[in-house]
Amino acid sequence: MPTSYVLPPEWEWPITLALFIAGIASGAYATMGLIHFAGDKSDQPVAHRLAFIPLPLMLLVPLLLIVDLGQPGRFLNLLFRSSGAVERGPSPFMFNVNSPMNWGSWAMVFFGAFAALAFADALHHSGRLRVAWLEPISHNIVVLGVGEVLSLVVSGYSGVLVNVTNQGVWSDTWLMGALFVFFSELSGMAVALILSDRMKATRTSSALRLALFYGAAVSGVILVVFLASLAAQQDGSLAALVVSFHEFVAPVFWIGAVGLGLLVPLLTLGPRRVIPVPNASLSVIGLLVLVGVLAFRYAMFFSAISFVQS
Amino acid sequence: MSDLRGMFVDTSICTGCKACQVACKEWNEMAPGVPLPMEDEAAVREHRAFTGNSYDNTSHLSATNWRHVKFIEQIGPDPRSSDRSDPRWLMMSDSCKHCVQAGCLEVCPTGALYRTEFGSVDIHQDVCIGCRYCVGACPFGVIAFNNRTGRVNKCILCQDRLEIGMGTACAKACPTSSLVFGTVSELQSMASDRVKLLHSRGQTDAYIYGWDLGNSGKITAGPNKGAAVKDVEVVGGLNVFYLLLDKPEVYGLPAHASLPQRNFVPSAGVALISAAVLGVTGLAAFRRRRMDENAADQGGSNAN
Repeated sequence: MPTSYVLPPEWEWPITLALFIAGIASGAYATMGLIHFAGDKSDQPVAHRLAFIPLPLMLLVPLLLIVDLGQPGRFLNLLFRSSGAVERGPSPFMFNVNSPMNWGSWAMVFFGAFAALAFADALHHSGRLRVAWLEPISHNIVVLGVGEVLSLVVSGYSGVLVNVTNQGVWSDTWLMGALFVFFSELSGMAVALILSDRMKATRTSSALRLALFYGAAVSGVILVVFLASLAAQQDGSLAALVVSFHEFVAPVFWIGAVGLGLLVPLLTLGPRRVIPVPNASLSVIGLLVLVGVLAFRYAMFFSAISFVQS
Repeated sequence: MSDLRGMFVDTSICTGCKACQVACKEWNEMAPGVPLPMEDEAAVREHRAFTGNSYDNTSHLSATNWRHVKFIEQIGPDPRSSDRSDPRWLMMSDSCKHCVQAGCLEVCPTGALYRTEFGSVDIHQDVCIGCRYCVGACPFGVIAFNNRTGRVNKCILCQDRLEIGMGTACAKACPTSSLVFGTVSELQSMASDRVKLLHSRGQTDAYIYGWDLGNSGKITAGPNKGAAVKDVEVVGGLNVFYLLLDKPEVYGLPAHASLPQRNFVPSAGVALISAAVLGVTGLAAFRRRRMDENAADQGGSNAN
């Protein structure tokens, strides 16, 4: 039986959803960057369409976080030092270097700027906005590189954040950040696959399905190492994640995260497909992966509550 | 160092009268919290119902119980058997420990949690946004979310009283001097003397939880009888520390509390490496497509 001395933080659905959406936004941006770096001219239409996605999603994230906190004005205390917090020095900005939540807040702000630039570039390419100086900036390799790095910070910070607690499951390994990066990128690739399928961009689809397959394979390896590291703790955290029916954690983990998030792309998208599926099913596979990533977020967030309750 | 204030909680003379708990509630103007019936499942879940298994019905520290006198009811040598001989009640007045290295303070993203001039950890209620990060970071399960205010609460070592030269309300109310307020260095010296006195009288199970003052002993009663115990220093020391008579776990205290920050650099490092691996797999996918297309072209040319 696990012995928990820590209270659960009671993070609920709005937080889970906010981080799922932020993961799609950052994953979509990272996939867009990948296509710019590694793709050719025939892949560009998908990259330009993909660039529409991060900004609106990143605008949705703070709204969900505010809904959860219930205090719109105070949300700014994450970024700007409140006049009451005198111990933090004279700086008008709030940045606690020891708090992953602060790192993530600032990363989201800066990433938002890059998402806005990508959005404007997508408008430019769709002919709805004509700005001559936009393309040299938005396609600049340094700008794209910095945007990629920020997108990866947004992908992974919430995993590092839950690692930096004393909760069972969350703090028992160092792999939460890595897992959150992988699953965010899987969601971004899934969205890109759906887009390329809808746009009938077959060449891009063939590269993206391979990317999703490789990504799912590496994620699977990390997930196995993660489960082994929970087992090594022998504190009940493994049981809280994989066999607990409290809050439906175990079924959501096995069916959603493992089944839909990893096994579906592994079995259907590889060079030698175990389950042959027609190309027309790519959008469906992409959607299933997205559901799997949402299930992963849910199982990870609620596993800590399950640990405390058990 | 001599300005640091704290409390020494001597559980060997605590009678479980809960005067400290009442004084805390009264001074800090918190609702009394009458226990609800056990049929109310939500109340049971939120520790607001009768416990049904103890004379203690507070059961847990919470946003409206900043101090809680724990009743550890060891009935008989083995709690699982029907042998009710040799019963023992351990009492402990629990609260925020005002850790020297405080996990809650370290992770707070808004500066709401801060270190006072007395070394205690206080909360700016007007700065707290209720993100609850500190709740999961506290290794003792002390800090709690207040659903009514949307902020977190815990013992603030009566900061308002300290500022005008008074001690804490709970220590003032304690009728047995189980709770003593003072400077941490004086309290450490007092605690060490108290352990030595108890040992000299045959109560060899006394030791200090919070600071390592060099004491060790052997438990003399209860299910852990005969087990060795020694002083435990956690998270750099506790400004509110305890004299215990059994293993820390018996009192609901972790034997090895640690700062959540221990995971920060390793976790971020592994995430960074993973991102690089993922980038490589993405590039490999596009390269593989090119190779497949080249192979197909080659195959086509050869066929022609």
